[in-house]
Amino acid sequence: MIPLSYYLILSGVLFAIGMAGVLLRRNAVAVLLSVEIMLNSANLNLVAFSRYIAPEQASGQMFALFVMAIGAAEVAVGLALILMIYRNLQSVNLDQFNIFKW
Amino acid sequence: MQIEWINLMPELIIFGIAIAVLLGEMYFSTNAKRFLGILSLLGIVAALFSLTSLYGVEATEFMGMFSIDLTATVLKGILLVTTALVVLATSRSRMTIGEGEFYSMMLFSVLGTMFMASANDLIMLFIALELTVLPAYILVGSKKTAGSAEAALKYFLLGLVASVILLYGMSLVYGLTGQTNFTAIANALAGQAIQPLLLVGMVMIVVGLGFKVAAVPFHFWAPDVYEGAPVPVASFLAVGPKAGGFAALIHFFPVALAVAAPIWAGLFAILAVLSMLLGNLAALAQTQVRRLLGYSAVAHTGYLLVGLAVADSFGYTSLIFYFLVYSLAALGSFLVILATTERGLGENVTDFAGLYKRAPMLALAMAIFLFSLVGIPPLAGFMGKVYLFSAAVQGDLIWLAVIGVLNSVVSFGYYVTVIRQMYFVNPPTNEGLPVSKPLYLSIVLIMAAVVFLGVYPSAFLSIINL
Repeated sequence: MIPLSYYLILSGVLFAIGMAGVLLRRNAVAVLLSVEIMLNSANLNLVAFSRYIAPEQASGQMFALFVMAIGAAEVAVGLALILMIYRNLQSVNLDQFNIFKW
Repeated sequence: MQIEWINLMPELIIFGIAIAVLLGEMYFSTNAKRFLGILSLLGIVAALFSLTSLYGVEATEFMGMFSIDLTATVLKGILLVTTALVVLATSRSRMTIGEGEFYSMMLFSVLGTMFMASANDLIMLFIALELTVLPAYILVGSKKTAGSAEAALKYFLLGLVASVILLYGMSLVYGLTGQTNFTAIANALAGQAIQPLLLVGMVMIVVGLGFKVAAVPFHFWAPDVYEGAPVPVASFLAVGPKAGGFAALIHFFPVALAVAAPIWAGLFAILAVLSMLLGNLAALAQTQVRRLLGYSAVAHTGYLLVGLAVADSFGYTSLIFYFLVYSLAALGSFLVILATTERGLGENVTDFAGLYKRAPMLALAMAIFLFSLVGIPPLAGFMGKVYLFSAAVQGDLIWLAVIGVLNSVVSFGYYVTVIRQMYFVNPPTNEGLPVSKPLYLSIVLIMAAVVFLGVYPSAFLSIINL
């Protein structure tokens, strides 16, 4: 059986990739995708822990299922907002959103 | 599994009304839609009544996922009262989206916040948090202008990243204990040495929830959202989601992570100092009044976090009292801004010039709210700060109390610029500013509450057993 640490390292790497995408990419859709990678890294953690630490309860797997549903809802809202800002500014580049100073 | 549905009555009522209002938006005629605000208001009042019957009840539902206790009940009460005031105030406002959409999104967000206040399980907490913020993102973007869209997108992306960081932290806590229930987590951690992985998870949860309450350095969204969102939405955001964030903080850390109390208390002390300093200093430089209030909200998050840094029951109860006091004053000042923006004013601080001559009641109300935010006796803000800082002194955090008092003095600097404009600068015209009756009533009620709680704070403190 694959040791638990393999899953944790993979999830850590995915989280880092997602975080790098959030910080470095300037396209709003790409940022959204990066966040989804981070979300899935947390999901991987939950499922792996559920299997290895508490196999008698499936609460971690339950959690992962709820997270997937919430992730889908978030993408729906996020894409709607990106579509709206595209209609206003004809761009989805985060650098061009500068009405407010950061 | 036996469920006492009566314990869930407030949530069920809010849920039902939210669905009904959304359906009303679809099927009602334009004329009938005007009553959706009144329907929402009636629903909130009904939920409030059923909540009073839960006062003093201690129970858990859904196999320990949902806990009913004094803290949760009182926070829900504060939330419902402030939401009712928002609904009352905006019932005649011109909406940027349909009335039904606006009120149902608001009610769903309130529902999420109520579940957050009662969450006793990581899964419940995460779902409740998302239910709180998802409608808020939609509401912020509801104006369909570039500014509103930009604020919504920033709020959404930063909020999403914070949620994911929170989730990752939760997964680590789950991995170390194999439990998702707060009490079970505490039992699994009791008596063990604190592992580095737990610290990582804890810091990630602090980051995630710190974003929701707009603590520095996770505050970037707050000024933008308060400035960019439609004013009725901004007034709701100043009270609603923030209540959920603090409810989650009060529930999660003292219960689940009791073993690591000194560490997270230290973290909150640092966040408190940063939020107070940066919020107040940044607010000094603002000329846009809603942005000014946005930074003032950040500073007040700092004051509120003092209660968590103290990490004892006196600290938490003072936090709740100060939260009530703060949310009333912040909501009141936003409603005054709403009243002026409806007449095309209220964007810049200079727009308030001579408000005293044009609308004496609005100017008086704004002055009272701002003085309460500074903490000038005999207003409620003063009593709130007295309790909060005396909790800090009793918890051997005298330095934190001193920083808090000094910050209150600094904050006087920017609040007074607004008051100076209202009372000592001549208005461009002497034309009056008519205010719709429900909005006026709401402002007067909040003003009365701010004065009453300042003179007679034990009216509320006896409810939370202080």
